[in-house]
Order: sequence, then structure tokens, then C-alpha cells
Amino acid sequence: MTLLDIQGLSVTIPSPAGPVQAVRRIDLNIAKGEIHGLIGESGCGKTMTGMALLGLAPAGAQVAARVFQFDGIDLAKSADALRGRRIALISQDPAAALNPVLTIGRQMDDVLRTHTLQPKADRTAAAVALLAATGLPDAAKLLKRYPHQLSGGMQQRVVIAQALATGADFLIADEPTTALDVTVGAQVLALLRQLVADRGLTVLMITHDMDVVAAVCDRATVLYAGLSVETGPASAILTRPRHPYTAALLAALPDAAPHGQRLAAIDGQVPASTKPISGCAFSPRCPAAMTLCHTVPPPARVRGDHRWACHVAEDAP
Amino acid sequence: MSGLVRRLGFGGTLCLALIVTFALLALFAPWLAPYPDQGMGTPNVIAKLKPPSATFWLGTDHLGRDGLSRVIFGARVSMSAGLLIVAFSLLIGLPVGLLAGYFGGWADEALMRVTDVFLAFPALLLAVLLAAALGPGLLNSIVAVAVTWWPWYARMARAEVLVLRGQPYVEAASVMGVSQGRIVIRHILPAAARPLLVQAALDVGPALLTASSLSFLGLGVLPPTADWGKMVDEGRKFFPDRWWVSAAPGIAIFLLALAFSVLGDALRDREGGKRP
Amino acid sequence: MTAPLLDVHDLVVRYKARGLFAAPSKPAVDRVSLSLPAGSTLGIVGESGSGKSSLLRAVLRLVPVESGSITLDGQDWLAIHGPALRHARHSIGFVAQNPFLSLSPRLTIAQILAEPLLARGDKPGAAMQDRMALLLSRCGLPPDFLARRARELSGGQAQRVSIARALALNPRLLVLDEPTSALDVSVQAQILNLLMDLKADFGLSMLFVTHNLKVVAHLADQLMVMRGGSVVESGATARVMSAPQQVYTRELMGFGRRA
Repeated sequence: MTLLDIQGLSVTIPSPAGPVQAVRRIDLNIAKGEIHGLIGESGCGKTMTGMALLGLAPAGAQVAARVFQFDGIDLAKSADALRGRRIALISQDPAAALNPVLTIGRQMDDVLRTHTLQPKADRTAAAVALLAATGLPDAAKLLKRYPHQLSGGMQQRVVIAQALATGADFLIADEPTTALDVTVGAQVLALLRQLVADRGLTVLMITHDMDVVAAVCDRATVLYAGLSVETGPASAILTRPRHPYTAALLAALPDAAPHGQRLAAIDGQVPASTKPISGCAFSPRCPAAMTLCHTVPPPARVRGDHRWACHVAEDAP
Repeated sequence: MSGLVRRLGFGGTLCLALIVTFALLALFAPWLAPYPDQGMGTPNVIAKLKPPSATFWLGTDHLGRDGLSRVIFGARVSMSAGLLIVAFSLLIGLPVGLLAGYFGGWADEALMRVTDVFLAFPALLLAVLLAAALGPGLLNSIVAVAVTWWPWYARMARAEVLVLRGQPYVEAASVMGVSQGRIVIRHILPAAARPLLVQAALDVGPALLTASSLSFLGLGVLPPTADWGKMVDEGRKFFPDRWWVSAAPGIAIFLLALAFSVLGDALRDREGGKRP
Repeated sequence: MTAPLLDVHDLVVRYKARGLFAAPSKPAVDRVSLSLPAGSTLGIVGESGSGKSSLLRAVLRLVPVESGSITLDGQDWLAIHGPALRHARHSIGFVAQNPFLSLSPRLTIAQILAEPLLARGDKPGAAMQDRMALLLSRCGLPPDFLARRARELSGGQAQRVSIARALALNPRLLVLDEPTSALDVSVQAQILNLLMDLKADFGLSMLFVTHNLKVVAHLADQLMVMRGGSVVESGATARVMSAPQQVYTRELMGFGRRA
């Protein structure tokens, strides 16, 4: 069952240098209970997409979409109402997401108080249960601690517990492991996977890291220059990418080439977000580009539940 | 012009214009004042304490001197007092703070304890004491105020340097074998100086107020030189019946101090968020 | 076999405990030894608190060493002080993680590249301009970049400038602190390629410190895994990657994709 259905989302931000197309045209379709990876490099619009879903696009930004629905509700009208009730954010830096001068207990209670009518004692019990559910040991003692007394991994678990406390069933996780050590990040991902299974959550996993996609994502969408260029099952994206950009991104990973061999770097740069795009956005950097690619927007290709937009890659590899 | 408004905002630009106007009045006082000789102090006893009129726009004082001419000539003293106090304070405080912050250790300890001693006294009281000890006169009063002010700049410069010293580009220079003197001058000073200059702009107003206070207390310039603080003091005896004697220089002090303060704010807003 | 270019023996780095009666702190680097042959690359891998950064800063002489020795090119590196140290620093080039922080924001690229050359005592002039243009071209940038400022560059371009600056004095050793961690994957590949080219063309020796095992495994000859100030595992890259002796090393290889 589709939980999130977005078609043709664009976010335009006015600036002194002319309107910035932070998101040009993104389609995103997420089924209930799945972890959906939103993959892209800096400036591709992945964070802005998340902010638009939360109704937190910067002031003055124009958010437009043909379809912009969450569980049948129009996000264009109701994003503010859904945020902190059904949609919650887990950001990259947990230390910044927590208030440094309030105890964990106080911050959990602040969330619970706005969402339930329970008496204080019940809320405290709920807070302990939620913290324990995120794998934090000694949850009762933790209530009296301050964020700086916790490690980064523990802080991120507290942020996740807060998200659960809102009662949200859709989590937007924006690079949740990037600020953490590799081993700690792996544990946080395992926790998210488990919460999805136990509580029927749905997660939009914004990331630049293919390892994260491989570890937890069921499906994934690849963004380039504010456009969704490929979407499909995570395993297919990682092992049988259709779009040349996805393929190039995977080939640029340091373990994609034998030790000491040159890596397949992508030449050139992402097009400026202030300029219009003619043809395929990736064509100036694409090794397979034809004349057609530079002028005509690429057609949508569909093979089962795998979709991509490319003139060249009709089917194989 | 529109670029200036965009950078400083409308208020900032207006205040800059006001400051420039006062500066021009001060510079060209002998040509702009209606009665230059009265502005410089020549009495005109036949027109004592006249209210504002077409001949004397701002009235006359107890020696019959034209208020407008006195205010215009007074701008010279107040302008230079405000600017010189801040300049002297920066000149002492910036190097002291730089050295203390960059080299740390006993130099830092010693320099910071010296600033502590200065900061332990109320600034105005210390300035009054110093001015009294040095004797009246414009330069003496400027020195007296600057001596009480530089520790603030030293503190601020030191704080900036402590942040900058840990910046990767400063570390990179040190790893490359760049000499310490060059690191301070080339890499730290330009970045540390900016917030200090903004603060200095903000401080010109209070500086000229302090200088005026000293004059008001009789510790500033010597008569017959026109000085706003002194003029307010002289007019005090005739207040409120002959209000214009005090009001004209008082409003001038107020306007100039306010202008520097608003301009400093505008500069600070511009600087804000632009950390290296 | 010739003597190694860099030899670290039983190195201990300890930061001062705060407070008069505080117990002495645990060493940040605890009796670490390593040996880097000329022309080879050593990857030092660890998470936060592993001591990898403290080790790097000790080699760069940015933090005091409590005990142990560092020998660089046959010289007792820790015995050099003052002006002699300033001169000796020219044999080490350093590339930091974030180029936008490690390049002076107020200076042009030309001024930035001139700093090490001036520090060596070179005179400004046409020869220096040529040298700077050559450095840029070696790092894959056109000479007209000399007039720009760092903030006008992309992350990858700025990191190339940072590498060019590190190479300005033909250092014997290049020390890299997470040189690709602030960059996108596609740009990271460009920088890794550049480093491999420089290694092949100039026989550069590199100390490559990172939290990302996969990145450094691609170009390092030797790997050293650190945890809590100590070396957990070290050896030839192929051996460590194919048959890690420690569970921790395996964990560091990351989750998900298996190449």
C-alpha cells in the first residue's frame, strides 16, 4: 500500500542570483513498511525534498507538485499538521537536535505531553519504555542525564525515541549515521531496521552512502541535479543500475576497482541549480551520451518495479 | 548609492550621511560657520543670551557668541576626541591581545593581569582621575580615556586569536614552516581585526560621550575652544529659561553618538555569520 | 634494505589532565610504533578516540610527545626545535580534511601557494609564478585558478589546491588527514586518482589517516588499525583486507555491500 506518493515535486528558492531550482522534478513512491533510500551527492536536492515533506522548506520557497500525498492526505495543505504527529525527522547531528541544557527525561516528556493526556507518572513510564525500545541500557537512569553526557550513538537513539514518542509512523532520516563512527552507525541502522519490523514504521533514508542503502533499504531512488533519475529495488539499483549516473556513482567507489588501480571518477560537475537544463541533466558528464541526449529530455523507462529516465539505457545491462 | 543602502540598510546609510556631514562641518568650520571668529571664541557681549532668530539660528551664549558657530567648531573637538580615543585604544589593545592570545603562557598571564587591574576600576572614574592628574587639555583627556579603554580591545583581540589560532589554515601555515611573526600578521591579524573594527565603530559614540563628560566636568579642552560637553556645562546655569545654550550642543552630542552606534550596528549585522 | 623514511617507536602522547588533583589522563597514543619505507603509503584507520589524529599531530609536531621517538629521514625528528624545526618542516607536506577551512579565506590561490615558497626563502617573481602554475597543473587545475579565492572553488578543486600547496616544497613525506571525507563520492574518486598518480610519478611517501577503511585500502601498501590509542592490527593491505585477524577490523570494513 502506498504511503507516500509524490509526482513532479519542485522546490524553487528565490536568491539574488536568480531563482535556485533546489528540486527540479522528483517522483517518489514509498510503500508502507519499507525503508526507502534517497541517494544523491551534495546539491542534488535530497535534503530539500525531506524538508518539503516536513513543510519546512525555507521561507519564500515555492513548493509545487502534481501529486503530493501522504496516506491520502494532501501534503501541500497539511504538512505542518502532520509534522511531529505522523512524520518525524531524524537529523544528521543528534547533538544539535537535542537541547543541551535540558535533561533527556525533560525532553522526552515535552514530546509526550503534547501528544498524550496521560498523567506524569505514566508519561515517565512511557519515556523509559521508548528509550529502552531504542536499545538504550538503564533507560530509567538516563532520564536524569544531559545530552553531553551521552555518546553520539546514544544521542541518536534518544532522537529516535523522541520520534517514536510523537507517535509518527513515517520517519525521515537525513544521513542519520554520517556523524557517527562506522561501528556505531551500523548499530543505529540495525535499530531502525528492527523498529520498522516491530512497529510497522516507514522510513525515508536520505543518504550519500551506498553501504547504508545496501545495509537497510528495500527500495531506493537516485537523485541527480534535483531530478529523480532512477528508482527501484535497492538490490537492483546496487547491482544492476540502469541509469549511467547510478552506474558511474557505483564505479567511483574505492572498492569498485582493484587495489591501486585508477577509479572511474565522474568528470565535470553537477549543473548549476540556477540554470535551466536542456535534454538530460547528466548528458554533459555521461560517457554514453548521444547528440539526442543534450537536447531532448530522456524518456521514462519501466521494467517491472524498476524505473529510470535515459535515452541510451533501454534495457540491459 | 543603492549598493550602500543594500549593505548598510536605510538607517545605517542615513547615519553614515550624518557622520559625514558632521565631519565636513568640522573640517571646513572656518568657512561654514556664520561667525567663524565667535566659533573660535571671540566674545560678542552686545548680543548675550539671545534666543534663536534669523541672525543667530541657534541663539547665543552668555558671551553673545553664535550657538551655531560654536556647535560647528565644537564638532572638531568631539569628532577628533571620539575617533582618537578609539584609535589609541585599538593601537594599544590590538597588539597586546594578539601577542597574549597567540603566544599564551606567561606573556598571556602577565598581559591579562594588567588588563584585569584596569578593568577592576570604573572606566569613567579612572578617566576622571587620570585627566585630573594630567591636567586639562584636549590631548590629555583623550589619553586619559584611551588608557581606560584599551583593555577591552585587548580582551576582545585575545578571544579572537584564541579561536583563530586553532583554525586549520593557521595550523597549515605553521606546519609549512611559516614563521610565527608572519602567521600573526598574514593569517591572524586580518581576520581578528574585522570584529574589532566593528566594535570600534560602535565605540566612537560612547567615546565622544565620555570625552564630553570630562569637558563637562572641566577636565577637557580649555576655553575659549568650543566643546560640546563644555557648552552644555556653561548653559546649565541658564537652564531652563535659556534652554538653547545647552540644548544645541546636547542635541549635537546625541545625534553624533547615535549615528556612530547605528552605523556600528549595521556593520556588525553585515559582519555577522561571516566567520572564516 | 634501506632505513625507513619515517620510523615511530613506542610513541606516547598524553594530554594534560584538567585540574590540580586530577588523575593523570589515559594516553591518547599508547606506545605506538610504525615504520614507513620511502615511496610507500601507510593507511592509519580508526574511529573517533582511536588516537589516529593525535598520532598524526605528533608527527606534524603540533602536540608534545611524552615518550618514544620519531625518526624522519634518519634524523631524530623530536630533537629539532626553533628555527631549525621551521626549516625541517619543509620536508613534510600536510593536507587537512576540509580544504575550505585549511586554505586562508582571505587570500588568493596564488598567495596561498606562495606561502610555503616564501617560507623557504624563495623570492617572488616570474620563477615563483611558473612554479605555482606547475604545481596547479600537476594537481589537474589550470593556471588561471591562481587569481581565484578558495570560496570560489568546488570542494574537489579546493582540495586539489590544498594538495598542490603540500607539494610545493617537494616534501619527502605527505601527511593526509581524512583528505576525502568532506567530499562527494565522485569527487573522492578524483582525489584518490590524483594521489595515486602523484605516488607513481614522484615516488611520494604518504601517511593517510582516515576513519574509512575502504578508502585508504584502495591505495595504501600497509594498513594500521587503531583503537583506544593502541594499534589493534597492522600489516600489508591485501592481508588485512582479505584475512583480518581482529573482529574490530572486520566491523570497520562497514556494513552492507561486499565487494
